[in-house]
Amino acid sequence: MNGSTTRRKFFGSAALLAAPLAAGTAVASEDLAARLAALEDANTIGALLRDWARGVVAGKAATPAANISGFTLDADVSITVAEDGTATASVPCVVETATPIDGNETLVEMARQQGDGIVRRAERRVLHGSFVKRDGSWHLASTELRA
Amino acid sequence: MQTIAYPKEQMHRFAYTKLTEAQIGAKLAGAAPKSASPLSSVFAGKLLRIVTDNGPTLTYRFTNNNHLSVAENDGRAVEAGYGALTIDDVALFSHLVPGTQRGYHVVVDQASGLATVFEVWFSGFTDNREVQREIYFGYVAEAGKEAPKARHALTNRAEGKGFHWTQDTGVQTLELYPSTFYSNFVELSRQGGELGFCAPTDYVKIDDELYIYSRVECEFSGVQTLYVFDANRAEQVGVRLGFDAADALEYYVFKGRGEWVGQLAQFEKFGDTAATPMPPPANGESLAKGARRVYRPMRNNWQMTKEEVAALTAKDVFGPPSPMAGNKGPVSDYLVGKQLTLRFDNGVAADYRFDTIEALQWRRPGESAWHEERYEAWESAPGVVMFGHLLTGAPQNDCYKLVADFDHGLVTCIHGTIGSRYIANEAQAETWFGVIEMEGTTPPKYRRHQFTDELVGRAVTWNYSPGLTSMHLYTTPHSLSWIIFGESGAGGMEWSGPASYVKIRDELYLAYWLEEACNGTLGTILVNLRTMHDCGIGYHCGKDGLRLSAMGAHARHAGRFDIAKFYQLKA
Repeated sequence: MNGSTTRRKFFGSAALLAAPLAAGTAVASEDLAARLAALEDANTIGALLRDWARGVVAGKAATPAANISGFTLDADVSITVAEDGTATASVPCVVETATPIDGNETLVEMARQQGDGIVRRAERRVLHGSFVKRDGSWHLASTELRA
Repeated sequence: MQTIAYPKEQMHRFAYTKLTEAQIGAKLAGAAPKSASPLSSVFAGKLLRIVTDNGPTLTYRFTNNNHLSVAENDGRAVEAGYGALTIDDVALFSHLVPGTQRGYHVVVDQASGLATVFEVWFSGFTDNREVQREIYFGYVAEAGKEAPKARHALTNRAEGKGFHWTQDTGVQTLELYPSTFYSNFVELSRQGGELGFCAPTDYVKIDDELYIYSRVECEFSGVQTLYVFDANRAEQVGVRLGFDAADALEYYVFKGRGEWVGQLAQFEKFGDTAATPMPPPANGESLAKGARRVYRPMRNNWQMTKEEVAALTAKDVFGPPSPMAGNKGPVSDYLVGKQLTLRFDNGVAADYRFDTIEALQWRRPGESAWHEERYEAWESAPGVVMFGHLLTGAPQNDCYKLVADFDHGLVTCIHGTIGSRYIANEAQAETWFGVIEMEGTTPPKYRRHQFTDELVGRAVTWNYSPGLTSMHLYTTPHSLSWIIFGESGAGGMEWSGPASYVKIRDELYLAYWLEEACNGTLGTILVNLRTMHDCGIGYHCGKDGLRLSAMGAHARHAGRFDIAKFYQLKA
């Protein structure tokens, strides 16, 4: 482990998993166990974020924005793990919303009656998550959608 | 001697009798379809076993051309009168089940062996007289022959078509299909053809030329009109079942010949030929038998009493934009600083001073005091300005919606009032033609804007804001229909109301429609078919107050039915 920083950054979980564990002198000097632990942290945090996104669409998790109907995370998750047992992750994503049209005009009411009257949008955002490690396990502490 | 059969009350105003189940049962007893044409003997002496996918198996024994026995699901056979007619290889027959308020309309394609069965019944809704229906797809079972895999199916392939039909009964109608589950019909001979109406409709594809059309006049008489039509040759065979305005049973099969009057555009994605069947309930339950999407505006509890209208104090005059104004054009300052008089041919006149882009003053001739009102104006075409305002303190919550053509010195006013003799909070309208008098102009003595039928038959889509798009179908010189698009772009729910059209300039029309027996709104738009944009004003009185609101939408041409000729006065 590099003792010059208290944070470990990972960009792209897929690339991370594919990285050779002993590819050169510097890597060879790393503590293999610490490296494996870091990989496990990154994989766990990424999975937590994806599970949470699936839960939002399924209505099983609190939504970070109103009327979300779809939530697709990009593959590359940027994860920063701190020494204090916390971590942050960010991932570009596409947020789909289905927002009912307000109003009591005739057309709006008729659209509602036939099952429409909804504005659908898809926007690219960045999902930020904060994590905390308790009793050896990572937990999602908070999420935020940013432009 | 009057030769046109105008009704004393139009359908949306007529108080159809709330027939009881017992009354209906009595009227149906022993009933069999009549026919002006000779009945077909196509099935006489034959046995027919029709198997449907999710419905009954019907075993028929046809004694002759007007008598059959039927066993439902291999139960006890009962005898009934029937009538059959054919169009090429396709036969339609209809019968009731004695002792019940049920019956079947059956369409059999003898070439393919496929069959579509409409089970129909009365007393299945709050309004007993409204015919209910369930559609089953199946085939004619033949011993030793494998069941066909194909089926007739609901379709959007009839969407956009329109026909003028003349039945063998002499009845003439215009029937327009701008939706995948609604249609328009204009009763030319039964009711004089002043207004078009809408009804939920099923469209079934037999093949690329032959379709089944079935509408039920929900919220009106409840009558069902079902027919097989040939789109190429404009021929039909059908059945009509229900109770007319005098509560007499209409039950007959008919043949008809027609005229193809046009094809509107479809707005589904290319390649989408699917129907838009009613979605199942969100709770995961199955659709109830006979379920269909029906717009029933008079059951929405929007009506108010005279006392409630009189007690209203809330007003929303060009307040926060509604979804109907998402694409409205910029507010114009064209009128700011102007002083003028609008003088109409009916003797009404009003002096105006336009102080700002949203504040005007007006007064009647002889009045010394000015009335202040909030207004909005839009310059739809160079020199043509639409604006509107309330007449605060007027006895019927009056409003003026005006289109002033400063190049020609002409003005047309749609004078809106609240309260009809039917509903206290329903808007009504009058059209006034007149001139603009102001310094530096000399108005014409004889020329005026005029009523026009140039829009009749046209269909124009209007996108008001994201997710809210409708289509106007200008069905008659005196009515307009609006169609709500679904997410797929398929035409969906429809309704219609009395309307009027005034030509302002070439490709520039003033139209209003009254949402009578709907929600009482008076909609008024200035349609510019060069910019494909409108500006407009909604006028509504509801339990939340009196509202004058801006409208604005982007347009697309959706086609035109060649139907104006059917509305000409003939000697």
